[in-house]
Amino acid sequence: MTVEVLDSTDVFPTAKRRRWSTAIWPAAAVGCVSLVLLVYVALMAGNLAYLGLDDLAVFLGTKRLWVRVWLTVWTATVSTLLSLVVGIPAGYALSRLRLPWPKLTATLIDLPVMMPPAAAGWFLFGVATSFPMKHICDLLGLKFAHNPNGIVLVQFVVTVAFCTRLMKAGFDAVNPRFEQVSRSLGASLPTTLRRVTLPLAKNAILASTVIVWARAAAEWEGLMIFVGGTMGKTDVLPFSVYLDWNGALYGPVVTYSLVSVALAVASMGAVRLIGGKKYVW
Amino acid sequence: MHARRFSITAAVLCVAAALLVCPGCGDGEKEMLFHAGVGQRSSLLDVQKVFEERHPGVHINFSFKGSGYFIADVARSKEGDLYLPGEEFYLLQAYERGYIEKYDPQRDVAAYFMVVIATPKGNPAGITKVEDLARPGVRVGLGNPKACAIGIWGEKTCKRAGIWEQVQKNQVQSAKCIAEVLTGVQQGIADATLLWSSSAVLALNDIEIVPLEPQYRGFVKLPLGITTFSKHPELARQLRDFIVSDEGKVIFRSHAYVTDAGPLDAEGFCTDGGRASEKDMQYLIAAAAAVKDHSLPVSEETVGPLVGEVTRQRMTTRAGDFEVPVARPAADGDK
Repeated sequence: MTVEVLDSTDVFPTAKRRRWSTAIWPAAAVGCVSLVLLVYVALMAGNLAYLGLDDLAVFLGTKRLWVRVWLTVWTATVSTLLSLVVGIPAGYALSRLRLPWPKLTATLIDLPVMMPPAAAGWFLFGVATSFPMKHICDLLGLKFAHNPNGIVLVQFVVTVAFCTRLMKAGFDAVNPRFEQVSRSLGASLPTTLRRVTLPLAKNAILASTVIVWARAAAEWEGLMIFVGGTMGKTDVLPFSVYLDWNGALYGPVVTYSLVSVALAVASMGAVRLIGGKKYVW
Repeated sequence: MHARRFSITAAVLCVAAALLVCPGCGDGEKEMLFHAGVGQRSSLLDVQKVFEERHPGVHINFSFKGSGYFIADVARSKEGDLYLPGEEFYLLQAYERGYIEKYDPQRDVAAYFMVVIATPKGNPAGITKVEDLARPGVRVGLGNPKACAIGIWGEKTCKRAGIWEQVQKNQVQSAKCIAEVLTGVQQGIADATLLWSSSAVLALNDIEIVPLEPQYRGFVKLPLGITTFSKHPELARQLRDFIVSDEGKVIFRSHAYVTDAGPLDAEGFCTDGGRASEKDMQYLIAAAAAVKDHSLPVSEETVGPLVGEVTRQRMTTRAGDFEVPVARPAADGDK
């Protein structure tokens, strides 16, 4: 591992302190990173050792695992798409437009990021089971309780603010000069958006999408409260871990956990590949 | 060009998303919803298998959760056909609020939980009787009486044995649900704990069973009720009748529930010196040995109704949800 030491003259002006700091801080930083990595490796290795490779092969071969993985993947994908539909325009608006009461608006948009998912689940429960949403849903025949629709809704509610926030950061990183030049050359706003802003923000958008997806796939507290856990119907991976742990099915529990971590690692790897060195958050 | 392709892809994905959501919108078959304590999962899945086999077109969905969550759920959703909590208290609570149809405390009983002592594999602290939990230095894991029924029974059992004061000093865990108590002893955080036999049976690879003396042996009724808002009341009645029938009892016994607890006192402790339940206790102990030692014979004679459980747990080192044949009454098995 190589550590790039930034020129620290400005931060530590005296020669004496600079020598001390250039030695200590990188060492401490590398130490912390190694420690974190070590913990992760130990966790994975510990779980693998607990399960054993033979058992792992058996449990990876069970159909139920892959049914649950698929349910997790498709619900998270649908809810991410819905989040994007709202999040990209909202993020653009927050980044470029002068909204009335900017601080209040930004705080309100950020609210669900801070709110515990369980509380979000409970609020949804209240909204969906009272007037007028209940009647609208009844009319449309739309069911949420004990239904995959509910999973998508919870994931959407939990991730949409998160998504908006990420998209805002993405658009903030695009220099408005390019848009101004495009407009001054006669391109309309939609054309500028389509041909200048979105292509420039593409990497940030894609990287954010993966993060939003991973967050959606990990959601379960809100699910537990709003949708309810029905086996074979709404048991996404994080929920399966809880359910099978209750049945002392430690084999599947460890396997699901490992698969969840693998999904998370894969999605984060995708962020690195897509995002390159650009700051996303 | 590039941007156009991007927007077309987005549009296609949105349509695909809409199509994906739709399969959940409903289909022709009769769907029932069964609210139950998470602990009753293994037996209820067997019940489901047999019941669905006999009633083509019927599908039972389960909503497994802590028994106490039921009220909050149905108060708003008004959905579900049956309710099987892990304590009569919860059912009566639901009954008082008008969520449960007429309930007969004698007939509508699926099975009983039996309290046993469980220790980590190899019984490192050498526990042989409940009084050993009070020995200085023994780490005792228990449930929180405010959070779960096993917590109440941990306290009740120790008080009955006159060791509650000392056990509280030894207590290293106050778990919020029985799965946590089980994990505690399975991971060796505690040297001994009190558990339902039906929970202990799930982790026989990792724990040992110590019989609880008959005078301290408690039993908890598992009641069953039909909801007042059931969409399929006739089917719900049939399902209830099936669960409380002899066939249903055989299924519950095969998962280490007790179906004949014998006479009990007002608090739920055994009063017949363990005559009715002693066999079940011995089968459980034999099953714990047979899961670990594959050379031991597994049959009706050695582990009684637990043949399926032992077979399932022998398949892997860590228990998985493998299908084993559903236990059927002897007469059925002969056919």
